Amino acid sequence: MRIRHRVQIVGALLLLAMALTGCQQPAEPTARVTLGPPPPPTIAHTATPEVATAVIPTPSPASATTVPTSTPTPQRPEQGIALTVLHTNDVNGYIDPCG
Amino acid sequence: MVVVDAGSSLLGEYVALKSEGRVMVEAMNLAQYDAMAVGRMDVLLGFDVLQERAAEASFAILSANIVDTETQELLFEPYVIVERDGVSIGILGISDQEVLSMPATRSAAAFLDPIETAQRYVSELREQVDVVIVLSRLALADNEALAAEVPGINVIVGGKTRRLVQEPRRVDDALITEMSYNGERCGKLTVFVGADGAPYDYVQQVVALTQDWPDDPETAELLDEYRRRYPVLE
Repeated sequence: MRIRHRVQIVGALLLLAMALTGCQQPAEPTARVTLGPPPPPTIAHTATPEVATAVIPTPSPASATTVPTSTPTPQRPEQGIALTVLHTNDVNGYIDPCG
Repeated sequence: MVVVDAGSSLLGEYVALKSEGRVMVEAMNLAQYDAMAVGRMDVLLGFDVLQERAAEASFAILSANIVDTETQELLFEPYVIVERDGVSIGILGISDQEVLSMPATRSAAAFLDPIETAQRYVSELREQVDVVIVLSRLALADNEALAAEVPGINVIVGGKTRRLVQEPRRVDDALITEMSYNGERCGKLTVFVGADGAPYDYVQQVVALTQDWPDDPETAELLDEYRRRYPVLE
């Protein structure tokens, strides 16, 4: 079997696994990208990234796999604004998405 | 932190539909949402019903580009400004043309061009706020065009295409993201914005809303009440 064909099959299987796991899929590790060096200091205020525990509850230790404990924490900037946006979309009225 | 939804969330599933969106609005009130955009599923029962829900919501239900056909007045608030730790955040709602595709809405309103609308309101917001978030019902490719043609946007939270955008896409100074559908995931995007308005760093966590998470007791009680009120017929 050619190498390219093998790669295509593996890729398709990965995509299928991602599509099927849906509710069972654990939280993907955080994507962190540094776009460039911080700009010169000109803004006097900063906003501390908040964690709203009411919205993201602590999972039970025995079974929780959704949030990796080693989630990288953004570095608090010396200047500029740090804002956390918790977002959802297209919930379609699903009050209990995973049954 | 701000909590937002990019729309098409209030109606669809049985209890949500039977309650005309009330269960979702009450649950989102408990979760302390700040704003959501008006999407196709939200107007399934017509604009009047959604306007009733908007009056009951403690968060803003936004659309800057749906207007009354006769008066040309907006049917919903275009944007909301919230303050967090001394930072002012403008949140703008942009709907897509599908809101006029439902039987209950077909002739009920007119749709304004989303790019022109965003240009107008983002420039207005930039005079008042530190950060601009757009809750957009446009497709992902159209959100990229929105970011390219409307300067001043920091974050675009999208929907409609049901994509899971784990790694936010950057177009000019805007980050674009989207979290699949049906309440399976939420995204936690932290963005660092410099003095020039450009993001210089960000991190996004994708949270799968599985059974591993314990239910919020107050929300669980609310949902149980609605399930009793609207039992699924066997």
